[in-house]
Amino acid sequence: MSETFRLEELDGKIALVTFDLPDKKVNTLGQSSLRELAGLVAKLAQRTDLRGLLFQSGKPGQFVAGADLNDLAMLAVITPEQATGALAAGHQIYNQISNLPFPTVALIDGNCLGGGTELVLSMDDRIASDASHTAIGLPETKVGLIPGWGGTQRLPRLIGLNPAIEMITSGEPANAQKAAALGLVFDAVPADRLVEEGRRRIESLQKTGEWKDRREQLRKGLGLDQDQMMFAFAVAEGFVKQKTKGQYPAPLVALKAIREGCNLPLDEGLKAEQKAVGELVGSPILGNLIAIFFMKNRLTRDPGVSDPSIQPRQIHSIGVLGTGLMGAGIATAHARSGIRTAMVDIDDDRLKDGLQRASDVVMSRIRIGRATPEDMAKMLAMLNTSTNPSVFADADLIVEAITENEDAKKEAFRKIAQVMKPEAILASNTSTISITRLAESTPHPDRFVGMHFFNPVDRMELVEVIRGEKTSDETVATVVALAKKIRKTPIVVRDCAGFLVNRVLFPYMNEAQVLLREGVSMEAIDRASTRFGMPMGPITLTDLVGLATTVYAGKVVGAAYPDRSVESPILLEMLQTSGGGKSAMRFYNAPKAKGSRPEPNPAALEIIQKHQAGGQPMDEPEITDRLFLPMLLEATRVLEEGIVREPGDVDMGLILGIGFPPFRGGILRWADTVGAQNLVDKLSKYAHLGKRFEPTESLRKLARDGGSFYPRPKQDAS
Amino acid sequence: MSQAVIIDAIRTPIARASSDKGYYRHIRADDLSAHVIRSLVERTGVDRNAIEDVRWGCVQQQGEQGFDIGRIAAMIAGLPKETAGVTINRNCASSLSAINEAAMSIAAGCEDVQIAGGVEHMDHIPMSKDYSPSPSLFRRHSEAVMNMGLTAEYLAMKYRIPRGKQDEFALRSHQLAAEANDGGAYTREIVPTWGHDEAGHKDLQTKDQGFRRDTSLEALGSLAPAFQPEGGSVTAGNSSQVSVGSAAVLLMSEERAKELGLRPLAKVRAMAVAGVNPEEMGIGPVPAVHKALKRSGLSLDQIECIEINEAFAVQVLSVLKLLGIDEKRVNTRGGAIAIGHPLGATGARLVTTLLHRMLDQGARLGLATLCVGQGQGVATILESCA
Repeated sequence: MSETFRLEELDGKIALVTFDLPDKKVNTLGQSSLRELAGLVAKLAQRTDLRGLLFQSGKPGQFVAGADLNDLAMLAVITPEQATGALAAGHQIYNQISNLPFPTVALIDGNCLGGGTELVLSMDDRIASDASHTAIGLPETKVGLIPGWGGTQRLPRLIGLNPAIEMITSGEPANAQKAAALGLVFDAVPADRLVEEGRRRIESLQKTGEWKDRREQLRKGLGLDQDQMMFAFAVAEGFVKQKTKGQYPAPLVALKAIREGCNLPLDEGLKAEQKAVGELVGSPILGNLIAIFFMKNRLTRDPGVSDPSIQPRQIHSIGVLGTGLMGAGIATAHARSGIRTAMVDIDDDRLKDGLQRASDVVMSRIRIGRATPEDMAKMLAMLNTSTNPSVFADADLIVEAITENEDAKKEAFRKIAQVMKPEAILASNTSTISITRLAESTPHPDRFVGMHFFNPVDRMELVEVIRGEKTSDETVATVVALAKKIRKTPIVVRDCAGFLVNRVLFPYMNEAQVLLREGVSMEAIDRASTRFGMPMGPITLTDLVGLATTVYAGKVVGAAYPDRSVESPILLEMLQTSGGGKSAMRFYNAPKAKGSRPEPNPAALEIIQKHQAGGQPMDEPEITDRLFLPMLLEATRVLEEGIVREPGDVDMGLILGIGFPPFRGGILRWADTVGAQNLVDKLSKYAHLGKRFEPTESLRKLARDGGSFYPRPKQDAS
Repeated sequence: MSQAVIIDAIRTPIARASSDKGYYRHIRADDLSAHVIRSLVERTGVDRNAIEDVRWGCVQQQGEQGFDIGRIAAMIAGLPKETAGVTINRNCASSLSAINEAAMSIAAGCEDVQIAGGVEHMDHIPMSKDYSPSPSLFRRHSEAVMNMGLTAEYLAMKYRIPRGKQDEFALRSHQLAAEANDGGAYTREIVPTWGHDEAGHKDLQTKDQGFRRDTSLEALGSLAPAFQPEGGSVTAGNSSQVSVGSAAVLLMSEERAKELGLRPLAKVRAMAVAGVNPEEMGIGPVPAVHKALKRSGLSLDQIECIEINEAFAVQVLSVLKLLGIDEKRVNTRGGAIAIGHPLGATGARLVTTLLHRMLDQGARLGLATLCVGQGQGVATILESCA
């Protein structure tokens, strides 16, 4: 038998169990570890001689990460009955733990999540290490599930209805101090005192006999009256619905489990929970959310290149040229992660603005409690500014983030080449210009790469890493590793107009303009998009991106794909009338009062009307088709051309880059849900619109073969 | 036991809590309190050396309202050093509690001549400034019980009081407050108070600031729900306003009044407090009124004048529904929806308005009651001495 759970006996008849999954970095609760735990618990149940049990993790700074990922994936494809069976083992063991004939105390240092939290909830008490890496939570609703090993029942009984509702529906973990304030743990103490404090807690539980009363108390219902219940759930449901827009069922199902179980005895409450889990398993939304979880996991491990011998270079310091919104954002992201950063622009005023932007980022995080004044000091200590590019001399990598002008960029590269280390990597944050072409103006095209951040840099976690024709594997691997180091999610993309995200977004934005000309109102277009799940509609997005940028980017991408792009005379005339920049005309006026709907701008309406060519009224499903089918076709072309390596890259790029609705799993996963043949049929309805709606070869093939972009999940629940 | 009587009651005009338009944007809460105390002493002619204690209601006891503003206001008002001062917090019913406790002290043979009242400057010290609740409070209660608007929405749902009814009640409040202010009904209770008008001129203010003569059902109906965007019915228009103001009442025993040669307006006939679920804090007056009636041996239909604080229209309507009270007896000079609700002052403001209403109507019995955040009700029954 392997040593997943080590049992030792401390002085005074205290059992100390150490959970240490062999050959793994973190502890998870899979089928085999649960079996072993069951065996151990059965033995301990006979030990009436013990005074108490302490439970800890053998992984430094990692307690229990939750259920095993493969077990989690299975939940997407099994039936409710199978789910109940699969969850039964966990329930049984946790119930046995809560009945051991002596007090039990968990010693938590590091992440304690999901099934790990449910495990410690089955014990009599918990003590957390006060280290900043301690996080105790039930994140299940974030992946479309609810806690299924008693979390929805034991947590409210322990910390009270409302804190439990908040933790479970938000999925946000509590740090040690918050956990102590909530009564989720007895105390927060330094990690090296955990065992000692655990022993003291066992003694106090024994001395007062309190552990027996606590068990009895926790087995009862909460005893809330009707007003307390009705009010709490009315408010919580309202809040959850507002947050999820009705698109994510899990938090509401969790609320239902809590509502139906919290006033009942625990064992009946646990049944309410199991019934609720059954509502979620096997649903497409759960499948999509779990898939995203795995795609994200894959990207965090992906080195960005297929050759395993390639090692990323160490990057100790970087340079950023340009202190605008993007440049300052990129510099701040690096400086915040402890990488020495030199920011260069042409005059002191611009440097001042750049520094201001950098400190604004940290200030806004301090305001919401996500950073401390020390973080500000550390960031500023890492950030150096100059008007002289010679400060780039010791940079391992230099990112260019100046205006989108090819000549200006080439000129900048020539200047940087004169001062930089010969082996340094040069990167461009361009969103539209060919990386292969820009590489020609640099001394070492193999060490030139696109590093495309999204706005606002501090909040958007996607970075497109664009490899030009000559970019080397080492360069790609280095930039991928660097992006991860600054807590971004990199996706490697081959050079093409628009790269991944903007290329796939373009046909959708393009079609929105076509629809305007066909007489569909801007509100109807945006509504169809947000009902589909997008965070905002394409017309609102145009206002956000800015008129001049939209027109310019549209020209570049449109020129590259002329067979399927339509120039928008509306955008052109709006730009001609108002110019770009701050005075640029918007489709919507800013809302008059906070919370009220933005009204269409009459000046824009006038221009739209001028270019309208009649048209029939269009219902919402048709508008949705018109917007998203061209986006899908472009996504299939990106795959066909090998711009990215797998469907998951496209879907994650869209989810992270433009907020494509996670519950749909991405555009390709959405396509799989609809079915290739259905999509081809839908497209034939729009054949008269030309190339924009012509099925691509890969889509036709999938329709013929009954295939899908992603392999179909196996229906194996054994 | 001695019987507590009220000699007189006055208040400042109630102003909006607005940093650019409110009357008292440049006036402090302690000075405002002292002004109303001084005015009461002058108007009654009571020997200031006879005043034993000042009981002052105030919710946010920090900044200019900190360190026992009751004592501080007494000192600013020029009361003798022998006059003590205490600050009392029962949220919205603080100054009604101050009055009740003064009456209890009289009955118990403790401090006799007292000034009871309260103040709140909701512009200088916002209602929930620096408040941080304990998570332990929320074991049984949603955190949203701290949001009074959501508790009002809960009443609308539980007692089925539609938006239209709430708006009608709000309109009534504005119309009656305008009538009372413009028609002189408030002249005896309001003491002219220095403050800045909206144009910035410093002047003696004599009218309440918050009521709107020109509001209408259409205007009220166009407002968006303030607390529950989806499907809510409680708006800024049918809720009380955040305000600044102060009110004060002079109490003493019947015997002491005779000795001092002062003519009482009313007796404090009965008092009560009661707790309810914080989820429906607005119905607090229901059990409190029942208790006070029982203690006085009176029935509700004997009470001619009733002042119920208008925290929310829906909350008043729920209380009236549960108690079976006809609107006609209630808040006939408008209420907090139109005039405003300076938390710590409102209880004394209600008693002040009630007393002068009783006097004008020749009524024998009157009732003042408030609901209290986190679930309480307070009620006081007065009997005219006229």
